[in-house]
Amino acid sequence: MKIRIEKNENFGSEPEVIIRCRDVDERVHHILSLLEEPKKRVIGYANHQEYVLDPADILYCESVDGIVFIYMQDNVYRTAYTLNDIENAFSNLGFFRCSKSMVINIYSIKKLKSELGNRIDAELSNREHIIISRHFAKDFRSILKEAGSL
Amino acid sequence: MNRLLKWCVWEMNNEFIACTYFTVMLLMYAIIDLVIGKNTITTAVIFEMYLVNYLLSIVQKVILDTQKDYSRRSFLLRAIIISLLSVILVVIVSTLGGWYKGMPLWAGILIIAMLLLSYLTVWIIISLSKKYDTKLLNDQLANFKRKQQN
Repeated sequence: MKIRIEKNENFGSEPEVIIRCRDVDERVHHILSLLEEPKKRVIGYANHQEYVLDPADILYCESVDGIVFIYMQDNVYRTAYTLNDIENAFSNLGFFRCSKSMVINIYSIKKLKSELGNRIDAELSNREHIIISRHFAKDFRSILKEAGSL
Repeated sequence: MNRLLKWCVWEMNNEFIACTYFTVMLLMYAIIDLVIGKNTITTAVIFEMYLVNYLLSIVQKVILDTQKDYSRRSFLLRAIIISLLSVILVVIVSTLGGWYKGMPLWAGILIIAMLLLSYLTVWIIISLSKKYDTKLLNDQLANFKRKQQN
């Protein structure tokens, strides 16, 4: 692989990367992943230790008595972030406010069930059931619908 | 002013439900009346029918507030209470009001049976619509995951 860096004062302030290749193969994908912005992480605490968590692995976050807990497949972590912080920071990663005290990762949902009273029962990949309240169900439906129409 | 407006909306909604029920009940009564060859419905019976349906609508709105979130169990329990109360109320008012005067016994029983059947039909329709909605939600979820990952 040839690597060439051109330096010129006339170029714009933002660096530009052009990849010339015959096929977009695994190596190109790897380069692209390195070039992408560094992934956002979440700091969680468990057993008096600090953990750096990948948002993609989070199933849901719940606020209990003002403390926010992060639920992963096999562990629960406490975090200093508020539900609003998590929702705002990771909404582009599929995080959605499903009730007053919960933020759910849409990618962790295995299946959905329409319930009476316009609520939605979401079964997560760990078989836990989370209820999306009628107040938030409308927004949830529009998120799914919008993504489908893209 | 805000409270008055809220009450107006509540009352309009209430009257809409009452009128729908009243129309269905009057239609059932008229069909049976025609079948037995009586061909007359007194204004007193019509008035009583409207009043009982107005009352039923209030009972429904008080017991099952559509603005609130109920658990599945609570929702079903409330729906059963409404159905039973409706039948009891109709039986009492129709007997006291002499709706079945000049009608054979089977006609009165048939009206009550049709009332119960209409409730059953409503629940079947709700159940089918929930199944359809569940399928739609899961299709949209799959679409969401696929499109976002691409």
